[in-house]
Amino acid sequence: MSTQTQERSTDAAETLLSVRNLSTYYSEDEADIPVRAVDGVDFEIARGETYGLVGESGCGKSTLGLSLIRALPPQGDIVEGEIRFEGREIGQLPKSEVKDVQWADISMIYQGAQNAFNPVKTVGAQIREPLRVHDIVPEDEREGRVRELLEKVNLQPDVAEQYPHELSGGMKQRAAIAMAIACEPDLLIADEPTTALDVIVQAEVLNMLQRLQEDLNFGMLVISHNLAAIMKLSDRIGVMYGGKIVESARAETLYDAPKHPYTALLLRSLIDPRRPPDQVETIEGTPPDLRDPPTGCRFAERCALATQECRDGEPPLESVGEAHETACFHHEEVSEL
Amino acid sequence: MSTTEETAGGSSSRRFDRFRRFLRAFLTNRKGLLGTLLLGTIVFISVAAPLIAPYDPEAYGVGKALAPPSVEHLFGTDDLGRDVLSRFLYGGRISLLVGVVSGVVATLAATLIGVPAGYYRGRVGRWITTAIDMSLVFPPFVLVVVFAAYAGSSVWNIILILSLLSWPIPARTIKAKTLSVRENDFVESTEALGASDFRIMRQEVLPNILPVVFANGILQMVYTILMEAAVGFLGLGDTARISWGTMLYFAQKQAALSSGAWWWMILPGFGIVLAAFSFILVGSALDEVLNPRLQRRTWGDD
Repeated sequence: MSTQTQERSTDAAETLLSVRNLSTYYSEDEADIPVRAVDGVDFEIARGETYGLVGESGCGKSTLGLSLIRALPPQGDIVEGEIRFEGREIGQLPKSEVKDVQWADISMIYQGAQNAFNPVKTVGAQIREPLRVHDIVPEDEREGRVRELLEKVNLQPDVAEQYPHELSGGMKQRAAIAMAIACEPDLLIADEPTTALDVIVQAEVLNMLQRLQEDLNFGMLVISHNLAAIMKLSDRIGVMYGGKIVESARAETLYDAPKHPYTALLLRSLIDPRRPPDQVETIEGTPPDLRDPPTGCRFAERCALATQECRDGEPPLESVGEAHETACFHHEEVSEL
Repeated sequence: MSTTEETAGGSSSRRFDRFRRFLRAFLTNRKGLLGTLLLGTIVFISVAAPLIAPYDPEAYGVGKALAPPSVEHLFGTDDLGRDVLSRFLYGGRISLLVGVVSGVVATLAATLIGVPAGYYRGRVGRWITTAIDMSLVFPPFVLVVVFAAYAGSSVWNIILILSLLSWPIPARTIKAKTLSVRENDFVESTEALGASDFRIMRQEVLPNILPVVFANGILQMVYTILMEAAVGFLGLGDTARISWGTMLYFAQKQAALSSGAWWWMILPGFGIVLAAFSFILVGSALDEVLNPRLQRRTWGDD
């Protein structure tokens, strides 16, 4: 995997998406103290590249994805920062103008694709929906295009006439992928693409995403708490904690030499069947309250390396190697953890 | 393109298949069968009244005044010597007309108002909901009485006022159902797809709440039939036309009960109860058959 991915990421120098200082907060009303779900995030994705976003539940990774496709729930708001997609600022565009970008340029595979289908409409009708909304394929060719899409994700064309409850979980996930690539987007956001699937179907889905990416050359943002899946798919990985990206590196670098204590602990909590189960480690403590995050490093409370310095000031994201950044004052000690 | 035609044909025959399966499930449901039979009978006698009525319903003196049931007059005659059975057969027309038309209009209005009320979050949704709640405050019966007294009591006026007054309750039910459907991921994903609000409401939300709309529509008809009877009974109905309610009004006015003319009241009263009952049966059967949780077992699955 490593040589091939390296080639790919150096070839694809053209930046597709660039996110600068993005902050997305949730609040019920003006008086409410906002939840800082995404708090000053920077990253970019090149055309054809896969960027993985990993972190535990509630760290803001799904919110980040929804911010990019501008489909935040009504309580959520992009309060700061910019999202540049193919050079165009889309983070602050009014809803009416965003509609052209949605799905046609940036599409999404939703968390739990099982529920992403309307139970009373055929799968085909729902895959046709983006084609119809964006009027990409002439009406009399849409039926054929749906069949083509289904074939691309290894589903029988007659699945188009079936209802969602007639499909298995894996089939539904593949149908969701077909729907996501319907308009040949430039960026595909996959939010937990393998959750709720058994391991064999997981592998199939991951291989399929990789194959489709090679065919269609879209950039991909994969969001998951499943580090193993992220490692397999991604060229580069961002580790998110408490609404911030705390470490970002090439997949293999991150695996071999993590420079943030959170990443190191996350890697050690991976379940490896060759290791006895009592050696699987968990991370003590709970993530910080994002209504009132601590002043210093957000991980300090759960970190064995934390010193007074960590509690006083926030460590900036600094370069520690080629394409490797981390936000930790003690990154040199991480290998000794 | 041949594949397109094939699929189009395939999906329409599939839809027909589903409809046939639905019909079978509905008619094997005991309530559905009984309700359909009763309702069918009522509709039949109303439509075929000119053919099956033994006498002209408006003709005076076809028999002796207040004659008890006999072979000539199976359900006797009223105080003007008109045949009660003939009047009963014609009377169903107005009862059904008022019930069905205002039931349908009220349900349509309830859907058009209830779906956006549940779909739009924030200010728009709150405004519509407030409008619904305010409409609920009006006491329908009092308004019907006042309206009938001022605007006159033609059948279409009664239909208009019943429609205007009976949409808020189903609108609230439909709003509640929309709220829960709206939270589904498929609605969110259609939003992310760039679809317009109208499209999402029509394409994603409406098909999911249709069973609720149908069940409410049927209940609405029960309500409007009973309201029409009540309005008629109070003498506020269109007295120039025969309806079961106005028959009861005249019977009451001429003291039918104290003069022992029970036959004058028993048929229209029975008609009202039976019509309401058959609608309830049909509605309840529809609910059972269309409820997605029961659907799979009875007809949804292949």
